[in-house]
Amino acid sequence: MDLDDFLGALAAAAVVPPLVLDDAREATELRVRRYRARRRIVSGIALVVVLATVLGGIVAVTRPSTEESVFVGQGRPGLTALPSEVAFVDATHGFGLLSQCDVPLDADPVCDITIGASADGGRTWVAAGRISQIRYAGWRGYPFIDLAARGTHVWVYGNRTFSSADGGKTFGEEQPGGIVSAFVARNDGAWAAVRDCAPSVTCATKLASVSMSGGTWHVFAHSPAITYPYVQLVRPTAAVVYLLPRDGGGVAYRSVDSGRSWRTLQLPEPHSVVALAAFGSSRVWVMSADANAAATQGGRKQLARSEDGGFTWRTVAVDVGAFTIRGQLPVGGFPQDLVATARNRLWTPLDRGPLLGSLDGGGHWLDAHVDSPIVGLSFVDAQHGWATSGGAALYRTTDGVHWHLIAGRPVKVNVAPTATSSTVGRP
Amino acid sequence: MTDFDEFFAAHYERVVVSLRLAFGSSSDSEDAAQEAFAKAMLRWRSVSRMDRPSTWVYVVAVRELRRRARRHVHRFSASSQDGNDQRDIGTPDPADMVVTNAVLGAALGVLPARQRLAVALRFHGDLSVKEVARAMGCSEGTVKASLHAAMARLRVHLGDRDLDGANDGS
Repeated sequence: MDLDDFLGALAAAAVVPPLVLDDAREATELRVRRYRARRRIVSGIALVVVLATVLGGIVAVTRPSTEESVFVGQGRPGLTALPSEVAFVDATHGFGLLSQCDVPLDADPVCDITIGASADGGRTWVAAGRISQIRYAGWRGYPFIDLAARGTHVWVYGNRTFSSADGGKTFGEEQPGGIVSAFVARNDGAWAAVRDCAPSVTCATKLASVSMSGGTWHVFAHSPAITYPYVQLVRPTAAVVYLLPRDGGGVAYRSVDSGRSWRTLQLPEPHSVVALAAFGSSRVWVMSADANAAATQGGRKQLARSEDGGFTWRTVAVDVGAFTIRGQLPVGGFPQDLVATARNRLWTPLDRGPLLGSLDGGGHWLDAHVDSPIVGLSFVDAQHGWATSGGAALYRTTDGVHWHLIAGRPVKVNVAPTATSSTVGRP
Repeated sequence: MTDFDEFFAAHYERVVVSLRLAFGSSSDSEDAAQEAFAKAMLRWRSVSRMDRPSTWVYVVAVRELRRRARRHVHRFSASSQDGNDQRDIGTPDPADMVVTNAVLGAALGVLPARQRLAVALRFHGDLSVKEVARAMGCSEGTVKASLHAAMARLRVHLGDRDLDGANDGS
């Protein structure tokens, strides 16, 4: 190659993989919105300062205290503590779960579950209903208990599953066919991944569904043969369903006909995929991390995206350094979950690390500056979401970008997500 | 489609690739480009009236990347006192230099940062010497000298004897 060839090649240089212009355009638009919001805040502060000066007084702007108002009931009894799990059904209404279990070493655990309801986006909670003295026969240790909601329907699922059709006031027990390890509720019904044996015993995970009006659970005859107890169930549309066994087996399953037939997907990082997220009928992401690494490092984090429902993949982000969250994924922190709230919006809470968000389909990640470790996320749309730290603090976003503490107290992360460059992995 | 959308579609990729050729880091380059385009969008009424609005974007993006590089250097020099082994952010990482032509990446790698930036803006960004000078925050003479030195170094690296008229076109 001579100099002319070199300059010709330089003029025609392109990047591999090609840039996705739509993603970049949306990310740019979001930056513009952020600038405008910042300008409004600065203008507001300037106005306050001018007014304070004019009036000759000192204006003290203090953050409103949330702790006092959190659990207060409005005419009804409040909750005794902040819910450990939340499930919102719209921008202001949601349900929360509080469980109290007696767990003897050599006898069945017994739990009391209180369902809270909020009508102000999670700031205050009142007790809606209660399921008392639930005995988990034959189980040792804490049972699985989780919460889901849709409209006025509330489900408490796990080792035993209960449902309410009146906003959590009264509950009846469901018979899905075993322990529910994953649950998704849409308008056309509730779906669950069910096993009829304990996690330590080998048996098949089956997919089952029930209509919103209740009744008998229907077990899908042709659901994939999964024996691993922990699976992720994702249903981005009424027809499209993904099942991810979290066993590092390198495969996931996809149905495009509401679970009647399934195809196997080969995953890009077969031994370490920890979470799957999907948006629409064909866009899907998988997050990988080294499960054997320390939780504070979670090395070789990698995000891959597929535009064809999981048949072909391209890597969109890797961990690049302990100190550079902006741009790519940080080395520190094991990904707990992955949630897609829009075509280009993703959220992932890291264990003992930050809550990260991407506004461009996973290419770039930003720290949400939520100062507690997040264990649960609940979104009703791309703008409205809640993040819980397991009953200590509750955060909310109303613009799909910025998060605010609305209840409880922050739990400082004990272990900073740091690592030396020797732990930085590249695919 | 608005004027800005058309401008974005026409120039975004060229800006990103120019920055990537010059600075190496793919994520920082895209971040800086998006930052610059966002600022252009905020001031689009005045930016769109400029002779070449893309030059304004290059100026802002290069400034943004330099600001980041300075921040990284401070941060990394602080952490290196703790014994951490960190790479120099100012030098392109070959793994980040993801361009279609491997020879291109290797040849650019032999140039110092200032020359690499001048070459990338001039020959990939298609900026005039005057515009490159504006983007780099230096005089036209400095840009011409950088380009001349870069061509000489590239000529040696590529084993080419024909000197290119790199200083034309201002």
